[in-house]
Amino acid sequence: MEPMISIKNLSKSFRNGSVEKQVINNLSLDIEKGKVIGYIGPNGAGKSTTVKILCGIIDDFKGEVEMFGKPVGADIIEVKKRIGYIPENGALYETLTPIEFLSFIASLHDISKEEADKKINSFLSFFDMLEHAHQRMNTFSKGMKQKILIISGLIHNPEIIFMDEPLSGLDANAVLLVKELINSMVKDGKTVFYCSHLMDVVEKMSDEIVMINDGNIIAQGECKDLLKQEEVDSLEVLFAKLTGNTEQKERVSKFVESY
Amino acid sequence: MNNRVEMGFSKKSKTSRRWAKQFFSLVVMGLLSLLIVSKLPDFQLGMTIFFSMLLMMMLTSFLGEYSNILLDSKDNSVLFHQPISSKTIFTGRLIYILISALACGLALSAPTLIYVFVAKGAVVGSTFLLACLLTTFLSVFCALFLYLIILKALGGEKFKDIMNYIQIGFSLIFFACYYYSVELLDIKDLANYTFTYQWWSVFVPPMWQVSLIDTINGAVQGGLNLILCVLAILTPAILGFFSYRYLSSDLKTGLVKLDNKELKKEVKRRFSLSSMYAKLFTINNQERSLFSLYRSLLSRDRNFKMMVYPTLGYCLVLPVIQVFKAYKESGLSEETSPSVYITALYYLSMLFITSLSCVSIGDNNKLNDIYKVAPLKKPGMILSSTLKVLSYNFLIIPLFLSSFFVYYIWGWSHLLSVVTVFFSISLLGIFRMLAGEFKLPLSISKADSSKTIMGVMIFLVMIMLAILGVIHYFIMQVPYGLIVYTSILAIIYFMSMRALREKAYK
Repeated sequence: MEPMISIKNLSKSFRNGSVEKQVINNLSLDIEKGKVIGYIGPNGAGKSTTVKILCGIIDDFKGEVEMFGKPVGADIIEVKKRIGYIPENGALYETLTPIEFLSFIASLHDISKEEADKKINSFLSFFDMLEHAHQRMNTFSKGMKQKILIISGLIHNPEIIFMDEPLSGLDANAVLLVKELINSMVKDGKTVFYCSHLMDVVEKMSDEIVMINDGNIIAQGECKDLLKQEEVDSLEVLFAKLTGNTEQKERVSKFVESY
Repeated sequence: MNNRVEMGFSKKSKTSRRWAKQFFSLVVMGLLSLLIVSKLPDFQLGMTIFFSMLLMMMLTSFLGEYSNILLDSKDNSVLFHQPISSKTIFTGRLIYILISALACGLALSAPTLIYVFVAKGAVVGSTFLLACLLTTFLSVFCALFLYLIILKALGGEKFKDIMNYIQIGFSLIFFACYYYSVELLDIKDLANYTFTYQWWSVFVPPMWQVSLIDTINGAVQGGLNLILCVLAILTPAILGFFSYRYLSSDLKTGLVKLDNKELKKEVKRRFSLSSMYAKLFTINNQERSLFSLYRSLLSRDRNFKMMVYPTLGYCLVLPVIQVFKAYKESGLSEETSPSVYITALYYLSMLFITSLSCVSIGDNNKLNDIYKVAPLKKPGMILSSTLKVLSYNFLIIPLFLSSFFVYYIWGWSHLLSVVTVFFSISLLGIFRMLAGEFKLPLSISKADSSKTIMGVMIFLVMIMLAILGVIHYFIMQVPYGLIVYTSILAIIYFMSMRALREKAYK
């Protein structure tokens, strides 16, 4: 079966004057349909950059990226119609109400007004946000804004969903809802690309783990296979081991002594 | 749709009131141009001057206000993964800018438009209206084209670094051309001037508009006028087309790079004069720390720089004009009237005044939470340290550099005037902070800040500075007057600085 996402020798660097930083280094990855990929790595590893390239936000890169069997550059608008992106710290037009913002997003995806209204109300009700539907979002808490961001990424029923810390700021009930939602989307045949620092969530939800560090893939495979291979009990410990941070206890005690 | 300048066409009363106030302010500014047009016997000369003023004002508006809309990268994460092309984003922003620019252009032109309709009839009035619209389009597309070309040539990261300097450079050029041309023109000569089209008119956009009016009304005929008419109509169209067709697709890439957080700029710690200044002129560690904090924040806050630095255009051009005029009339020597350097020094202080009115504005009310929880013994210390940072950046350095000029031409005995200017302007700042509720630095968003049209604010500030300059000049005529005046100012300065530190805030 042709992969939904195919990345070959992806490289990306950022230049500022004479300083050049290689953020992604010859990364290759294939993602099958109907899977949840847990994309993890330490801060500055290149996770967000990878996602931005796949979403078409960053379009100058080296290597080949194909989505739905076609190069992303070939018809990026069509690709974007079929993907959804829930960014970390995403911007919202906060002077708008949820209805206004989500109607705008729906209109970008050519969803008719009637259908958009129905979907928006349905999503807002699902997330217990219906009573806030006509309030400006600059009065919302972080969790409330995150719910709107999640809705904006799902409203057009995308085939691939990119999520960057989607549970950030959500209360426990909403976290459970989103997890169940992801499970049901995957059963429907959707592909989820999930970036997070919450190892226990990633471990439970992902079919496959891809761990990157300094722009390179350092581990890839099913979680249980990776844990067995490295002889560790949890993804958290595996993460620490592979990123070279295994002496947290010693560091903490040294720091506390000096403090 | 976001926190950008709202169009005011919404029915919400607060926005509508704000828009009405802005519109009214622009009409008042337009009355200035009407004064010129109506007084000059030569209608074409008056029109040329009017279109020059309109072009200059629209270009500076684009630099200050509209470029923020075009180059706003805050909604990159909202829009760029959606199925809309870079051209669509560009077009959306351009239409937004054009509607706003047209409204401003019409407001500025309204008094003169009414005058032309009444004095010259409907046909001339209609072509005048057309020329105003074309001037607005020309200013928008010209500035747009320049920005996009520079963005394409430099890439986003470098563009971000130099954008402030581009804006300062443009405003310097515009104000220099504007004021220099006004100074070159002798009012007496203007009354007898007969306007004619010359070969070099093709390089003067206002004359294209005048030619358009004359040609449509049959007042002139000829190849040159036809060329000027074609330029008036086609130049904005060509610039707009070229920008849309060839440059707009690079806007998205440029905006992504503008927003790039991947490359973290390392700030090198090095010796700075400001640290030495802080050690000498702050009273305790707390004030010193706050001085250091605000110095770092304000020097790196792009929005603050974009609000303040374009004033550099006024501050440099006006004093230079004064000095240039004096030099033209009688050369510069010890015998030259001190009113020359007094005027120059007070105009130079406008940068400080502008910085004071912009210092409270910061993105997302950055420091609000810190102010609420910080265990400051005397909250007024925040204000005093802010004043000292602004004084250091925008008052002391320009005055210090000017003192060399004053010493060179007028001698050391006149250096006291520089000190006098420092104290009188600083006192303006202190009284501004003491009077009413002065918002703390970087504590309110731009949307919540009180909106005063830049032009009106500058106008009021210039009046205040003129009054101070006049007082200063007359005091100098009194024997020992300046020493006594400066001493009094210094005492008031130190007393009021103490009062400022004691100021409580909500």
